[in-house]
Amino acid sequence: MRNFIAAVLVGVATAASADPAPLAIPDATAAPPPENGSGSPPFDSTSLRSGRTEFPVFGLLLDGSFPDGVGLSAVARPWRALRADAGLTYNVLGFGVRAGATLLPLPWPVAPLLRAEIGHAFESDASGLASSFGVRTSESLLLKAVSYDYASLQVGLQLGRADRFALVVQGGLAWFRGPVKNFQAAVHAANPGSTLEVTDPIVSGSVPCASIGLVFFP
Amino acid sequence: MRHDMRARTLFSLLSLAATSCGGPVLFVEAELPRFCVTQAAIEFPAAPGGVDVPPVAVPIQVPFEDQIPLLRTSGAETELHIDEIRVTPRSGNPDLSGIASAVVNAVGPSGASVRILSYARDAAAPPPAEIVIAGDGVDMAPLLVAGQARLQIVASGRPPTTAWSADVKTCAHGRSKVPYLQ
Repeated sequence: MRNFIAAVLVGVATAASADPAPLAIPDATAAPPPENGSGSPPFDSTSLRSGRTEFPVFGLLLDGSFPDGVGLSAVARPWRALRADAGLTYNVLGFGVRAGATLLPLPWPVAPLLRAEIGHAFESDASGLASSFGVRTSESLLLKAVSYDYASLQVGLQLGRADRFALVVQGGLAWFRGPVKNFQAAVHAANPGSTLEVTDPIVSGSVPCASIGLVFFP
Repeated sequence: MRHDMRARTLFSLLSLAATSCGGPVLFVEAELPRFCVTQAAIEFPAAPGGVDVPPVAVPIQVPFEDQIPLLRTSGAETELHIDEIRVTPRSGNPDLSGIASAVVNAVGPSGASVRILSYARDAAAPPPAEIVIAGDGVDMAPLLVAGQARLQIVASGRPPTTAWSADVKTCAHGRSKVPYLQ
């Protein structure tokens, strides 16, 4: 594990110190790309189809975060400064899906970023995990069917070369919303004499979120 | 130059986002769409006989905070709306057709009462087996005392002249919002 982390850090440091020029070597006889005012070459769908963009378009994102869990996503870059991703997440309890977009306006080795994402964690049973931590039966009943939707807005830094391999660290706000199922059963387990009849509550909130991930463009 | 402008815009956005991170925007909220608490065998006194009967009042206390795990009244922004109170006779075989109207008042911490629910009998309808006193969405949260609703059912008309008992089912909805950093 230590070797892996060392390899990751060395990789990031090497990438960060390398020339940030695009990987693709332009043809010396070709005309220079037209300036579009943004400092980046314009998106050309023809060149994308033929693989002639000056930066790699498709890549992978592996990250760990709250509330997503561990995620593996496919990444696409329609423009140099924008990265869109979609993939699967796993939060120890179950799987989910997620889509996000990251804006990287500055092509620096250490660059600020702005990210937005939405996701859904599919229903999963967390009661076994809760019981192993000594949670009471009545409370673990509440965790028998956990699912939620979420969205987040994060800011952070990307360390490395955006065209090859980079480490991203980010944090911000996440909003979540999901039902608390089996609520009545939990109340009656905790208080057998209760006369309460209750429909399942909905819990939502705004909480801090943070993530760390690796982006790789083969 | 262009990068300077982009950097300035981005750092302005970062500052804005960072400012909102430590404030009251962090919270967890539980929304309870509907819950009902039933209190069994509440005693209703016999009303005096006669034509002009004074209203008969019966106090009840509903321990919302003890009964509803996610409902907090201290350190939280809480809303609580009683939708209806259903009075179903259990003993005494009362004739409820004489109750022309009924109201439920909530008695707040100051002792002042607020009308939250009302009932008016349809004279053309057959004698009711139960009385449903419905509300208009008054927020009860400021009126709770130690997490309990202190209510008073007041019946007018010609309430039963014999003592009787009933199950009183109080149905409500509400939400509690707790600051995340509390």
